[in-house]
Amino acid sequence: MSRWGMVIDLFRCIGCHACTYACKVENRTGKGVFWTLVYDYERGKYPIVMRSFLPILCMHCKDAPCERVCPSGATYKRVDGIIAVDQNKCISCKACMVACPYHVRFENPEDTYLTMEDCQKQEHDSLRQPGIIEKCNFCKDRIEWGITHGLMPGMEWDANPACVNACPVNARTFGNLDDPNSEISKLISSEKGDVLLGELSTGPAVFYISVSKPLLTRLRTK
Amino acid sequence: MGIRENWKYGYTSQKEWGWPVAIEIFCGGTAGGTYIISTLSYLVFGGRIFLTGVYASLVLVLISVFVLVAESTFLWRLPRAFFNIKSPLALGAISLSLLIVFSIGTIGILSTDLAPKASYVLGWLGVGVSLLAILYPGALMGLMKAIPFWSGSGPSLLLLSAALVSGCAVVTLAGGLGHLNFNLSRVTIGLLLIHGLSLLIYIRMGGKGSRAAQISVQRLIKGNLFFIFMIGVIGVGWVVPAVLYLIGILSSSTSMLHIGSGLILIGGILMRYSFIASGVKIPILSEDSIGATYWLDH
Repeated sequence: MSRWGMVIDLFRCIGCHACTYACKVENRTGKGVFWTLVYDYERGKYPIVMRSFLPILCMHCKDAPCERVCPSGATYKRVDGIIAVDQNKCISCKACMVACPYHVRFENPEDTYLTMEDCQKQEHDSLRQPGIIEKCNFCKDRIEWGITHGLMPGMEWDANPACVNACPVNARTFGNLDDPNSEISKLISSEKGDVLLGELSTGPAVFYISVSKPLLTRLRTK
Repeated sequence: MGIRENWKYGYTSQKEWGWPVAIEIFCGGTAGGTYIISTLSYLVFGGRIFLTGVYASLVLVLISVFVLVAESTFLWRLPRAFFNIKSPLALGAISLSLLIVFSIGTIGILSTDLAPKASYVLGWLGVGVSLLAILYPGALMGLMKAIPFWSGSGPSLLLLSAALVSGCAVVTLAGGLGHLNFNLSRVTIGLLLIHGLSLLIYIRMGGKGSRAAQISVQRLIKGNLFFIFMIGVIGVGWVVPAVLYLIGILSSSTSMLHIGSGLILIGGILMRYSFIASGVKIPILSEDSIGATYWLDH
């Protein structure tokens, strides 16, 4: 079985926010809702100042705090490791938002549709109501569509999450974490992929290839 | 809200929960505490159940459930709150519902004198669900790894002492003094001291914890929650009631005990709110956090 994950190469990220907009277009999220976004921040003090970008999205944790606190079972872990939200079960208690260490859960502020076609047809079944808690699902519909059409997610465009396809510098790599021969597994082992807030032991499926730590270390030893 | 407003720098407070959750936790916990204190006389000391206390417990648990329902965006989905019993929140929904059932059952048996022996079994079952109703918010908060100030078993123990003190206060206000075969005012002041000490130990431990926990403590003792916590919780909810109870016990003044009980309840609700509002999350971004880095030219 696959466990889907992502590696983000921070050495490549240029902070263009293409991933953010690709995600919004793909998932038709409401106003102010960003299933993936890029933090853009400055560090250091004049004259030694650095500008940093940190793309962030749901980490699809192995031991997801959001799943543990959800009383209705709306947040659940799929067999492929994706943490998904069943919009028909969410009671909007917001416990998952409080529990998420990565600030990547959002309350849907308005009626939104899953796809443009549904929006045009005004399909009630696919209407996402205000109050429902939403988050990145690694574009699970694209993954499922790809698998049913014989495509390998991570390898082929149509089976990849939208943010991966949109990145102009190929900073994002998607694939199967359980396959030691997949590109993502090789990247994590060769480039020493790091996770965010690793001290919480939530087992994120999103890894980062970092460049800033060595830079900071060099800076301080100078 | 644009992307820029979504940037999360440094230590941020959780903003999802506020007063409604504090009221819900306070009423649920106090209902549990009131039920325990009201039945303790019968279950442990062989006296009678204080019926008015059980009525008060029922009213409080109904308020708690009402706030929970009023806050929910999807009323028709509320039964789903019971589905995932691994979640402390689902256990809370179950315990609050059962507390309603057991309170009504206890009132029914005592009012009709039908099956009086059943009240013993019902009483102990009621105490069990009361404990669950008291402890579930702490268990839920303890699971929030992102908020170090809440993590662990501390919140549960703190909410237990707070609920028992509040329960004593409600029973006192409901006219329980003299109706129980133990000295309620002395039990109250004893519990008040235990609660105050556990509160101080908890704050002290938070102050020595991680940076996020330290910031939570700072917000309580000298930050934006100073008035609510130091004046409301410590002053109005703990020190003044303790003094009033001492005076009341020494001078046999029930009015002092009643005023003290009222202040305990005000302090109780403020304590729940200040703890919820002080929850500070570990930051994703900090000086040492990873990030694609570019030098800025000056």
